[in-house]
Amino acid sequence: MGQGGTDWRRSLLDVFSRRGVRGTGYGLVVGFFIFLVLLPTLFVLSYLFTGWNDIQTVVLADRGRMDIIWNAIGLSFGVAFFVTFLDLIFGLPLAWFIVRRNFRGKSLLNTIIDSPLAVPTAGLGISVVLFWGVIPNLANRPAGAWSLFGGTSSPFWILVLLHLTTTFPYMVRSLAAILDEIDLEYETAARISGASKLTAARTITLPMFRSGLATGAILCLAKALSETGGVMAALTLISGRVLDENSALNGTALIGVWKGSYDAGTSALLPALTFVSVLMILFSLLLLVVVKVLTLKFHIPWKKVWPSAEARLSKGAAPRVRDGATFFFLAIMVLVPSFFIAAYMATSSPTQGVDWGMFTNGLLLSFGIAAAATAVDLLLGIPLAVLITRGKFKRLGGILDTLVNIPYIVPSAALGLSLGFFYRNMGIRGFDILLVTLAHVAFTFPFVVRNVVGGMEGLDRGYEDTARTLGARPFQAFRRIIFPLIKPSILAGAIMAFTRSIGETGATISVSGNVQTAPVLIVNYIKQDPSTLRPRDLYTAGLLIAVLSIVTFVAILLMRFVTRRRRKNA
Amino acid sequence: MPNILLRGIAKRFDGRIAIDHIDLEVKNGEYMAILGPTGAGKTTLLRMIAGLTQPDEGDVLIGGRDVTKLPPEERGLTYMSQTYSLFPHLSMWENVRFSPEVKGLPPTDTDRLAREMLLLVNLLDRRDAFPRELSGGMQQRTALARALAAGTNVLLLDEPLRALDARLRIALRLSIRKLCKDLGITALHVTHDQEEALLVADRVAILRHGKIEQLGLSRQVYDDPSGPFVAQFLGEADFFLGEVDEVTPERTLLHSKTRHWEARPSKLHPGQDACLAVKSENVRVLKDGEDAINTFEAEVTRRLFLGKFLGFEMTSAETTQPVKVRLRAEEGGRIKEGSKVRLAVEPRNFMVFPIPPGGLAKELEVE
Repeated sequence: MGQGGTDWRRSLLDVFSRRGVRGTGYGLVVGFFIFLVLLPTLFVLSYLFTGWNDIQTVVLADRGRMDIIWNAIGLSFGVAFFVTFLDLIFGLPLAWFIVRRNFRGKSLLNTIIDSPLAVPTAGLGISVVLFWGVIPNLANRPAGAWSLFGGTSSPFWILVLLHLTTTFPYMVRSLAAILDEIDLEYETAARISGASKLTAARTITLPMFRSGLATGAILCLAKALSETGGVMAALTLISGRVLDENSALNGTALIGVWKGSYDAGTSALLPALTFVSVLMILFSLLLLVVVKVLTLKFHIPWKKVWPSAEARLSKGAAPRVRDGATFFFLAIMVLVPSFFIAAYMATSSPTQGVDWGMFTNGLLLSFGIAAAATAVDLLLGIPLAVLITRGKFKRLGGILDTLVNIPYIVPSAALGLSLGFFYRNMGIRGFDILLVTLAHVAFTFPFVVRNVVGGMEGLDRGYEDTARTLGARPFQAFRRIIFPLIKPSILAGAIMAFTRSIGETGATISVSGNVQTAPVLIVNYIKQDPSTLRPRDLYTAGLLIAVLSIVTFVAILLMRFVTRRRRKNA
Repeated sequence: MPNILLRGIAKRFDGRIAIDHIDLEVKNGEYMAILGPTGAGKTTLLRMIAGLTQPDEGDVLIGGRDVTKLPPEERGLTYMSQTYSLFPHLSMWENVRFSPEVKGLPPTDTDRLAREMLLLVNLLDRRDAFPRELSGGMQQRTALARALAAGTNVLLLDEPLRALDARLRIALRLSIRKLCKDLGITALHVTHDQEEALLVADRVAILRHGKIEQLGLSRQVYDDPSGPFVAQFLGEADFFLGEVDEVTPERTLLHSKTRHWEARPSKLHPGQDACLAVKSENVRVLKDGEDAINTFEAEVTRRLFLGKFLGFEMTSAETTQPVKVRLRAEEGGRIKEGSKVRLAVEPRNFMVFPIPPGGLAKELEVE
């Protein structure tokens, strides 16, 4: 009965179960995390020490250049804060509506809210400008919001409108997730004690989900600060010319533009390029800490209660006005602008003479890189998540848990730049696709680890304990018990990592100018043609967007299906 | 050779003592219950034996072998948790097969074991069901079958009946004991339910504040408690205070400010402050004109219907605490709230203890 095979497997199991072997394995995983993810991500910070002289003489002393940097960073953070504020204002009632109301089509509404995440951000950039913005020299535009007021060409407003589409789903998701876990009983108890709906929600439930607010705010801020492809697409379209350092740029677009010139041979830009990346990284990390501390320390200040006014606001027209405004916002500010490119595609005709080889290669490259990055994420991320949640040294787990989030907070354009320098510094040249994949590993890694850590934390320790006392070695307990039970979390993490990788532009172009993934192609297609002063090929860009969106959307549906099954099992 | 031997085992959590240097011996084939209030350290003790929590000090020996440093799977015992932890993604059949399978038994032996154990708990016909499809009682029985299929001769049971409703609990508690006895298994059964502990175990260990207060046969710990806490924790007891006058081989004589008491013999010495305890079912209500030793008067403040029994709370000049009295329904029928009665305690039912270091009231706190 195959005794030989069983013996062979058991002795292998014995080897793997030895403490020394397991320790070495975990050591390797932590080592990989540090050297493959963490150090490359933060490597550019070392330039502060090694290149400080250059920074002083070339950047700090150059008034014009410093103005460019501060304007760009100011625009990045201004937009990020304003967008997060709007997300909170409109996300809270929407999350409330989704969690606390029972209505038919709830899961459809959830899917619709998530749907903008399916569109690659470069596509959102194009779509938002087509709906809201001024696009010089473009004929045949479908009538959108721009036709009412002539459209906006303000970089601030166009980026705010863009980031509403990229961040709003994140905010609603994280608020709804926390709200879902808060026991309705507290609110019921408050209402039975005589509080109106509004008073109960405001004084009892809201203070309980400060952590949800923090998560939502951090996700939105990080996403808005990090975004490159959509920003470059939007700014290119409204400027009506090829972007250069004198265009209105935010931080990530400035990195993209300077990286482009640097790759094209302007090596004198190196200090400025690294300096702006360093600033973006440092400010983002600082912001993460500040937001976390603020939301945990900050108490929602209105302890005072106005019973009659709040009771009046809880009934009749007021809640209906609130819900109406929320859904109007969702439709006009988020959904329609996200998919408006479809209207453009419907009203214009296909471009002649498209290079289909490049088109297909771009798609294959995108999917290939996303698949490879996700595979590496899983290989390293699952053991790391096990170490974080089940490791013997609790403090090490806590530290790793925080460090894992760094690549998510660091703007991906700065991350890509840092990573490119890191490997070139180590003498690795000419493996651009490999380097781009490593960059994608770095910024998608947190998705896998976060989800698996969440799954492991939600899992009753009793299962493993029982499995161990029934004679299972740690590895057997993982493979037979933990792994099947957290598979939905693993899949969710993998799908998030995969879709995030597919839509990414900034990290790709800042690692290498030669790796033309689909989102990079999209940004290239819409660059102004110097002869006609029009976007080069908006229609083909639209086609690429459509393909990427459909694939990503299917992935999101899959994720919803898988996570729903997890709830049923629990 | 003792099957489970603990030597000076101790554990602290964040500086708070959970288990305070416990020595304990569970004999081969013995069924022992660990009884204690919530937070006494029962689960911690069990988890340290299982290898799921590492003790700070002391040794754990199973079958004479020091297993203190070994992981759970190498200790040769099985642990059943409060919630059973049936693996939700596996059928009952697969759950019961789990242990022999991971231990590398040949498939035919594994199947045979799983079949035998499911048959033993009368669940063979539900073998393809998943845990969520079964009732609480069936889940409990499957968890037991799974634990037995592990083939170890030491079984640790952490509140195995807690999640069941009262009737089922009563039905299942003896069947666990019988299974263990039939299979010659040494069992350590943790519970906070005194009735369950007294009924199911050969010996009961009473755990409190991480220490064993008393270890003995069920009868012993009930009738001859080691101190006021155990006297009160098992059943219900009334307490009085006094000072020892004389100790003879037959009895202890005491007095308070107002009267004299006669109680069981004790090791106390004359002049020592003492507390007297009597189980509430051993307080007698005297008929009119009847005389006895240790009589005192009381007034009924509450009368509680307990089914077969009537419970009374009375006030008396002899103690500041309400006196609790438990009578069979037919005896207590005539006693109403507000009645004045004469009570008596036979000296052989009157236990005498030294006053505990922190005072009697503190000693009797349960939490």
